[in-house]
Parts: sequence; C-alpha cells; structure tokens
Amino acid sequence: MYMKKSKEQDLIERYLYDVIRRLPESQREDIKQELSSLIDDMLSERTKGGDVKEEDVKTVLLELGKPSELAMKYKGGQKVLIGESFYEPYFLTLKIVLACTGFGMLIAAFVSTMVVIFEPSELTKGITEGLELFVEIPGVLLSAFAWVTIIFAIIERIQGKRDLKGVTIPFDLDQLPKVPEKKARIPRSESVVGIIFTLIFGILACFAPQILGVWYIQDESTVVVPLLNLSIWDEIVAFIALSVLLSLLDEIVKLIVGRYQIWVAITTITTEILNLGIFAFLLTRFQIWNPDFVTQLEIAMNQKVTSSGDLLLYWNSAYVNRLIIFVVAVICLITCIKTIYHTVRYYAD
Amino acid sequence: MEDKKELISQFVLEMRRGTVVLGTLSQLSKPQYGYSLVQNLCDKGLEIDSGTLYPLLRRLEKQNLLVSEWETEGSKPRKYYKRTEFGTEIYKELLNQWELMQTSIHGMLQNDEV
Repeated sequence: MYMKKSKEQDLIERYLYDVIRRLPESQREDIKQELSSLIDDMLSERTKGGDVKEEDVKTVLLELGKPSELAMKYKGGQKVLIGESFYEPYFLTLKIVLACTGFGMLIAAFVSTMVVIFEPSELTKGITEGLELFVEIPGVLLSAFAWVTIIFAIIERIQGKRDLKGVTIPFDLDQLPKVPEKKARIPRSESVVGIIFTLIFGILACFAPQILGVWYIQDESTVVVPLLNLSIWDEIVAFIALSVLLSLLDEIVKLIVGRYQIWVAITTITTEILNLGIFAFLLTRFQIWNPDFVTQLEIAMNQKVTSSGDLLLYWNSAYVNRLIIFVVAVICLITCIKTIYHTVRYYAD
Repeated sequence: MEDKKELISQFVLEMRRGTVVLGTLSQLSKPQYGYSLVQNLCDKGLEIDSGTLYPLLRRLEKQNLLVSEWETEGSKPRKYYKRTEFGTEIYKELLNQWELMQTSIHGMLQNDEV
C-alpha cells in the first residue's frame, strides 16, 4: 500500500517499536508482524482501499491506544517493584529512615563543625570536615532511599514466589497464621523506635565518631578528646554501615510481620550473631580505641588523670576489649533467648 | 450527569469483559485472523477493540485453548487462530455456565420490582 518509506510508514514503525520494546525478546517479532497486518487491515477498512493519509494512520493508532498500555495487555498484568501488600510499611519505613538519616547527618555535621578534635599541635581540622558533611547530606539521603527500596524489593520477590505457590496449591485453612497472643505481637512502635535508634546511632558512628569523648571548652571553642581512634575510622566505616544495614533489615522484617514467628526469629538471630561477629572482629583486629586517650587527656587537663588502681590504667588493654566483647555477647545471647522464647510460645499454644 | 454516564459505561464494560472469552471461543471453530474476528464479533453485536482482542488471542493460545498459524500466501501475512480440542471442551463448559447464569439472573430480575 505504501510504496516507499513515507511519513505514514515511519509513524507506524515507531508505534510498533514502542510497543514491542516493552515485551520479551522472544515474542517481539511475532507480535510486531501481527500488529503490523492488523494496522494494515484497519487502514484499508478506513480508506476502502484508497490512499492512506497521515490522518488515517493517526486515527488508527489512537484507536489502538497507548503503546505502553497495549504492551501491558500483552504482558498480562503489571510487574511492580513494591506491590500493594508492602506499600504501606514501605512508605512508613521510608519516611522514618529519611527523617532519621537527615536528622543524624545534621547532628553529625554540626558536631563536626562546632567541635574541634583535640590534637596537641593544631586545632583546625574539625571545621572543614563538618562542612564536607553538609555537602554529603543529599547523597546519604539518596542511598538511604535506595537501601530501603532494595530491602523491600527483595522482600517483595520472596513473598511473590510464595504467592505463586499459593495459586497452584489450594488455599489451606491450616496455613492461616494464628492470631498472636498479646505477648507474641511485636508492636509497630517497637520496630519504629528500633529503626530510629539504629539509624541515628549508625549515622553518628559513621560520620561523627568524635562525639564519643571528653568534651571541654578551651579558648571559646569546644574541644573533644576522642575516645575512639579516628585515624583508622575510614577503614572500618564500611563494617559499621554493614552492621547498621543488617539491623535495619531485621527491624523492617519485624515491622512487616508484626509478631514473633519463625522468619522473624531467623532474621533476628542471624542479625545478632553477625553483628556480634562484626563487633568482635573490629575490636580484636583494629585499634579502635584512641591509643593516646590518656596522654591527650592529661595534656588537655594539664594534670595527671590516673592514679594507681584507677580504671584508666587498663585503657586500651586486650583485657578490657575481651571484657567488652563478653558483655556484648551476653546481651546478644539474651536477645536470642528472648526471641526463641517468644517464638516457641507463639507456636506452642 | 457526566459522572452517571461514565459510571454506567464502566459497569457495562465490566459486564462485557466477562463475555469476551466466550464470544471469541464461539467464533473460532474455523480459523480466523484477528481483524476478521473483530469485525465478525462487531457485526454480531459484541464490540471489542483490537487492542484488547489481540493480546487475548495470544493468551488463549498460551493456555492451549487456541492454535495459531501464519498464512503467508495472500497479499499480506496473517496469523490465523483456531480452537483446539481442549478449547472446544472449555467452550462447551463455559456455555453451560453461561446458560445457568442467565437463567438465575433472569429469575432474579423477574421477581424484583424496579
């Protein structure tokens, strides 16, 4: 009907391309040919075999509808990153995470700007670092957004597979979850508070570790003698971020499920163990405490701060580190036992 | 007023949607290509746009209710669809259901004063 590649032909080709580019590779050619002959038929119907004008093509294509919608009909249903069932908790988590991340970053940036880290020679380092942090805020918010979305997308995929199973296996009344006793419920507020603390702690630990230390005023500026070894912080910050991410994942699972149940127990216990591992690794492999804390404190205070028998004498010793790891391990164990207890109880009665 | 019209056309569309598969299957004891089917259905009073019917044909083929074959002999290549044996079985059962539904709805509507 069209002799050469006319404007009309070009329009049709662009339309077809816009439909099939959204479809699986294997079906593209077939659907393209079928639609192409359909458009041909519709055009001849319209022009009764006469010349095809641009207007005719436009009318026919408009009748066929938006390429995206046509493609969607071929695909049969929309594939989404985060579906209806998780949209509400996703949105809630996103709001909390963005708010806390922003808030934590602001504190970190303010602390870095206002507080000067004690250094025997010069007291200038703080200012520039703090300003850099302000610049980093949008980037950090963006990655917080990305991580929440990724976590939910993964949960959506896993849950989606189970739904698929549900279609083939007949709906089983015995599989309905038990209404949890009050004790087996995990209140939303608990998960929300968990997320808030995890994030603010995490952000500060990553971006303003100097916050932990002894603060004092000198020549009208606030100086801090850091408790942590800031010089190695760049090396370990990734581990802290990983730990924060794990805790966040755990809290999100709790938020979604809302009760103690086998998957909640598995994520909680895994997270606890991994976090304990990361903590012990950092404490034993890195010099995470400021090795000169005591000396620096003495210079800063202009007096000797330790006397015999003082706890500070044990500063930075392997003994103290082991004690700290032990205490953290005990807390971790208690959390695990508590989780197992609640989970078993949920299934038991 | 506009809202009312839109609401009605929405309900009519929903009602019609349920009949499209039945209508399509009914016409495909002999092979037809998509556009001739659209016209065929339209002539018989079931209006359906090609943008809906073409994906539907493909879906029914995937579900083994229809088979298709490219016919390249004519002036332009066309894909012809035909009911399979399985498709005929399904069609018959759907027809049964349709008649049952019709009877019950009919009975319901007759007893009800508007």
